[in-house]
Amino acid sequence: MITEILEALFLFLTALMTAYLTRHYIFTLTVLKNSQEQKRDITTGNSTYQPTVSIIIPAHNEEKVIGRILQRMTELTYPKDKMQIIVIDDASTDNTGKIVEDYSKLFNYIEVLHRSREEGGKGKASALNVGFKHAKNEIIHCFDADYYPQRDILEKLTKEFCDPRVGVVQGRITVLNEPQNIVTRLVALERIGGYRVDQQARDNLGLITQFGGTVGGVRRRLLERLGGWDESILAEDTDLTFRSYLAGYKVRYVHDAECYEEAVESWRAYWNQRYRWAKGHMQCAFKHSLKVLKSNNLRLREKIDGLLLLNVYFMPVLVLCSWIIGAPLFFLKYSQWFSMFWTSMPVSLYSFVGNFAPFFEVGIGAYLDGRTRVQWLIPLLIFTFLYNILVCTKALMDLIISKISGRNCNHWTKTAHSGNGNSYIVS
Amino acid sequence: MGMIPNPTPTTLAVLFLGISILVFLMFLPALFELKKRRDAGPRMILDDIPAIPQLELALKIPISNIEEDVHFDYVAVLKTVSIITILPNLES
Repeated sequence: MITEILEALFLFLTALMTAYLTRHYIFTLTVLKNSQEQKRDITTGNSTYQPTVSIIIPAHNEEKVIGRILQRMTELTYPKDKMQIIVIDDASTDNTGKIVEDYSKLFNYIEVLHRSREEGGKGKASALNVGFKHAKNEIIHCFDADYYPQRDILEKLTKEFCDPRVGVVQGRITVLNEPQNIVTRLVALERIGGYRVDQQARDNLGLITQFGGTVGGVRRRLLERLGGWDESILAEDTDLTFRSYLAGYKVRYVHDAECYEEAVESWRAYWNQRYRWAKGHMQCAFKHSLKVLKSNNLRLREKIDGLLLLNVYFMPVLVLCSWIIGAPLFFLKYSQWFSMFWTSMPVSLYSFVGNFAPFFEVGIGAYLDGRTRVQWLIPLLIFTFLYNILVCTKALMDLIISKISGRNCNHWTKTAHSGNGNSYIVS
Repeated sequence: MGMIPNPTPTTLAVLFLGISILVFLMFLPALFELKKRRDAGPRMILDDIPAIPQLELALKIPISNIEEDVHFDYVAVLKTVSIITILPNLES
């Protein structure tokens, strides 16, 4: 009896892995196919659709990087009379506030909102909501303090709002401090897989393109309708993505709109960031899975992709489960066929699951970027995957414990930025 | 475990050695790349704005794709900029 239960469970997990495997193949092949046909839109810089935009930059102790993005904001080619930049000095204890004050004195379109220790430090969603209250313009863009965009990024992102069905846009993120160390190099690989392939394919196929919470914008009307960002969710970006789709809007991915980010530089920082993402994503899965299934605004393929996306951070945990279940089955099942099957499936499929930039996706992404040499590092992604198994398992356990105990577990661990990315930009 | 042949010490040793070599070979390129980085990264992103500012931007950001040892030749770029700048004047 136990064997049958384990077997059924194992088959279920294998089926799930196969679904993710198939999804990754479809994404990769789609991007490969479209890369041959894709014509670069050279008219982006001349787009006549230029509504007013507000840019919100939440900043909590970002003195090492805030000057860099503000300087860049002043260099953007978007008409300055249509721009409002709001920096939320979110209970910073360093010089962040002063640096922003200096910029706001020099440039009248830069505003700073200071939050005290009592008001601030409650996470990004809370800071964004404060910024949103002060935003006056039609499109609300968000950038993190450690980012460094192209000068014409606003034109590229904003022109997508010409289409009234588009509620949210997302640009591409590229790691700035990639050469720093092995962590930043592996994060860069994950970003290549995630944006160059995953996001692009979702956009091409009309699936659930994900808003990453930065390097992107939201239509003001939609944000008002949704009531701003949900502060009870750690992954406020994923939450906004699904609420937008459920409200009948689309998210567009604009591959040409590129922006640098400063990636985490240590395994500890990597853990903290991924733990927050995993937990937030799982919160979204609990919140939205059923709504996605019932929604009248989503097509079948969007529902399937939406469910896969919502539950992606459960996969590392389920892969771990399949390994644990596979071991006793190996000894309980005597036939050679079964033993081969049981052991080979989890081992061969683990590398194809999750959102941790599966190997071939990253390989194709790097190839399309013309980065053949970086592909040599791809085998090392096995370590990030194993690490993510621990991260996601811990996140799930904490989430379950908090659900049972009723305690709030939404502590926001901010990613610290060293400013080392500055050395790659010479002004 | 009837279907699995009884392993002898030699079989186990060969199996262990084979797996070790396979794993080593799998990580060998990564070790080479870690020891001596040939991929500089990050990917250079440029603005789709008129040609000369774009070239100026390329000069401002010393991030280049040096795969296969291809470097930005700044002197050549500067010369190109000066030539392009003169071109409209030649037409008039």
